[in-house]
Amino acid sequence: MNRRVWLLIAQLILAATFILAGALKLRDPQSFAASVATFRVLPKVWSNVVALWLPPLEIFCGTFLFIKPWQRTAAFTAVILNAVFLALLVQGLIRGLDLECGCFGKWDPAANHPSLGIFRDILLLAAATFSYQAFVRRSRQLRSAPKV
Amino acid sequence: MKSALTRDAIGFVLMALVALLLGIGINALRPDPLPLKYVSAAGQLAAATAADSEPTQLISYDETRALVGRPDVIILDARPALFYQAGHLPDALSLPKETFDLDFPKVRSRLRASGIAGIVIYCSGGDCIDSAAVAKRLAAEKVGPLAIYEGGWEEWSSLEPSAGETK
Repeated sequence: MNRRVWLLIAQLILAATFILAGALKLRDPQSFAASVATFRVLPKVWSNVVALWLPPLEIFCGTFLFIKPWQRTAAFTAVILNAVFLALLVQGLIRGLDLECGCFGKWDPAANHPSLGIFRDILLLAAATFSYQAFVRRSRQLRSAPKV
Repeated sequence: MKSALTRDAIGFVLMALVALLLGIGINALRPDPLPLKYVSAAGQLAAATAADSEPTQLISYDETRALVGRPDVIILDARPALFYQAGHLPDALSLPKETFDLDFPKVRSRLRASGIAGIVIYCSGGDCIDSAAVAKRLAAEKVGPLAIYEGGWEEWSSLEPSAGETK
């Protein structure tokens, strides 16, 4: 398969994941705020703000992966978000915290299995990094193309 | 490359700011908006019922410890049945939030028995929401007085050396 097909597959996986995750969390912000609090990274009082902020950001990220002027920014956002999610899960596992991933609300198969969540985040981070690199390469090619 | 990365970082910040405003806007339109300052679900319920004739109280580990084993106090585990089976507070009954409608009829007569001084509900820990959800359902069923042990199984199992044996 050529690079373009791989990019499309990566975009589809990332978009579907982020839009679904964002939409599910948007439906039940209280549960998600409780999940955020279990990570014990931010002061607990900020958990509600994070729970209100993250779902729209994930939906933007997933949607903008297919909207041309924003594709690269969306892929960059996907890299940042997945890297942060991965770091949060790893620190929780190392600290032995009783984490609730909350990634897909109560429908998350990895809700109480941080190691499954870590594996999923590694795959998503790889897809996001590949997409971002592909978009950077594409914008470089466009800039260096001879102007007619 | 550096300027491209800066541009992407600015785009990310812009997207994050718009998402924050949108998230706060959507929340304001909800029938029960989430307060911006986090309070645990149990804390919210206790505050909401403070003025009621039978408020839901929050109790500590020591208070729970003193209530465990008393015949006039019922302990309810609001976590999913799988977690209850793995370990629970002594003599606790399982009443998971998810299967409340199915399981409540099984414990109804015990909860409504005469001489019951109180019902203590707990879930996994201070930030879990299942105990508050079950307490709300029990209050609607006119069962009480209710108390939530906020520390939940996480605190109990860390402070009670024999907690894993209460199967």
